[in-house]
Amino acid sequence: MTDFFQTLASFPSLLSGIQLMFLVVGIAAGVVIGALPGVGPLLGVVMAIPFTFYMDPVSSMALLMGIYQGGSYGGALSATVIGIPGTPMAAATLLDAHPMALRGKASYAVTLATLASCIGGVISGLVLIAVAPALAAFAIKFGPAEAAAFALLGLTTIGALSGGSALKGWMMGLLGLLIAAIGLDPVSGESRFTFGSLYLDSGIALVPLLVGLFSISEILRQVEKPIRVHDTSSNVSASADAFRTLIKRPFNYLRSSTLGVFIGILPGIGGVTAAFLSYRAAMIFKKPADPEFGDGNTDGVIASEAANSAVAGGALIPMLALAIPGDPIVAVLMGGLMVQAIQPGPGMFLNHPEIIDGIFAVFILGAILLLPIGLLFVRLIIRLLRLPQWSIMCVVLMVSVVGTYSVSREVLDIWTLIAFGVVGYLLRKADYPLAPIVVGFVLGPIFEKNFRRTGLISQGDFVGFIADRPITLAVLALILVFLALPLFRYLPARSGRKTS
Amino acid sequence: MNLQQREVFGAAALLAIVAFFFYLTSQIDLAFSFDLEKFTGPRAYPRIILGAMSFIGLLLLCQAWISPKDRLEKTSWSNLRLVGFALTLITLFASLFEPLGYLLTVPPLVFVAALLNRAENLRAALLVAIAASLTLLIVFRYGLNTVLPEGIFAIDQVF
Repeated sequence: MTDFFQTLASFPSLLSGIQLMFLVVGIAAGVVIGALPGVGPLLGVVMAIPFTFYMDPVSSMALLMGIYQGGSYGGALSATVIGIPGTPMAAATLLDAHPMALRGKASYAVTLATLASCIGGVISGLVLIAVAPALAAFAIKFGPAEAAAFALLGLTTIGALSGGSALKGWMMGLLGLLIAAIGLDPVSGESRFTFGSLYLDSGIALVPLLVGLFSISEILRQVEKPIRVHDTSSNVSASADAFRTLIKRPFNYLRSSTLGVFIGILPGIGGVTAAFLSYRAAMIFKKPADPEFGDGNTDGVIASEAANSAVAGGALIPMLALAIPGDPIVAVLMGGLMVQAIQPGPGMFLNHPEIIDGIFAVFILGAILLLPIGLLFVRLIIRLLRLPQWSIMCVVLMVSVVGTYSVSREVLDIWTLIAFGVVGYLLRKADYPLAPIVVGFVLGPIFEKNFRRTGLISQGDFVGFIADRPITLAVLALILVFLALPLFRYLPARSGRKTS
Repeated sequence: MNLQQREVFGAAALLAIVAFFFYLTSQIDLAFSFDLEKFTGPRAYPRIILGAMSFIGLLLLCQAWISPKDRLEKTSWSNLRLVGFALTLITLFASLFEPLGYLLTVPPLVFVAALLNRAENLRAALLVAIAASLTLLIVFRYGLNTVLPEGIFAIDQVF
């Protein structure tokens, strides 16, 4: 507990002016990106990765986490004003915030969403600071068998990440592992799948893979099927009434934020589920005098926004402490740390405590700054929603291509980007999820190193070796549960179909 | 191609890729590996992944055959042609970026991409192409201190 308060007290000295500037830029950019339908925080974080190559690790995380936090909230703006959630997470917010805007209470709805996002972020940041170091201190005692088992656990959550078919999710996760295996073997130095190319000897770089899969494939998708732009005319500003809900409805803020953090910690569930579960919980506690849910209920907006913002802090706990990214954006953030040659996991708490403290400070300050930035720039952001979609996609294309080139000044990276862009586009067409590829790719080296070390220590006798390791056994049991979950989802669907 | 055929084709294509990579694993040289690595070594590790992929690929193939999903969207050939143009454009850009340089390749890339994204106002598309390219150049050159390809123009002479 002393550490917790020491960390909080040291915040003012943790961030330099430049790091604070990157945080503000990240949040502002994130709010805009989140508000624009068809872009979203994931694409925003991916596009920013090449720029972070030139920054120190804390500045890099300030920019990326700012985009993550701002983007998670930005979706609520377009959901309120034009009735289109900029991000899937804002779908629950739309149910009540848009009816409020239609009745001329857009300012109240936007301020409420901003305030709830800020509170949710701060509460989840406090939980992050309290829980992540304790979890890392426990995980530092793990050997290679436990580390490999935890990496495998991260990979099995891919089924949950995939949304539709778990099989497709696992297939893509394994594809990510396979792509990570391209290059020189880390133990013996032998070439694998390099076709004699020196460029491929060092493996596939993270930046062209990420940008190609998400950015270029999205551009190709929008060339095929453009998104319609909606006219916006709402005049929105900060509303004092929304701030009074802090006194009138404190339990909703607390309950929704706690639920969001808890769901964020569980890998693979994510903000959409958190927002709707929290919305459902708010319905249970509905006050009789309040409007119906779905018809402009204040608690509906608070519940959805507080929960989906709190997911971010929860999702960072397993990523920082155990190197398990349970969310596609967190997987990209993990990649952002790896670009800086920093390996997330318990070792990071020992070797780079200053970066950990910087990340904590960035997260809490980011959540607080969301309130003034979100409210100050709301009119500008709503005006940006009128920009034609082609202009946004052109900027995305330019930043993606030039940004990728700038990292290593290697034109072959642009070819890799194009190749993964085509792969991503084809996979989207066949309804395969892309996020598991990133999870597999970032976990691949961790899993391979520890899996092979386990093989060497046990001299090939995996079963006998693991039988003496209760933590590994417990994690493997958890993996089996995760693998079986889609089966349980499938069976009732089948029996239901027979009954009907 | 109907939706079921597309699902079957997708799973079959992935299985073909798995088979190709499995063939490639036979070319991995094991001369410098330890004996102890025979279970998890440079060849065995990818083969474990490929084994799991082929198992899931077969399940996907069966799933597509037995219960096809109806979530896939239909594709029109005229729109696919636009995707082909977009890919050709990016490929052309990748080939010319270093020889011609930033100033001669990025603005045309953005301009043509705007037209492919159905920009109706040519003047606006041209303005966006020039303004966005110059802004990004300034960010990289002066903000991040990165040298971008100068090609036949030296950027220093322009600014």
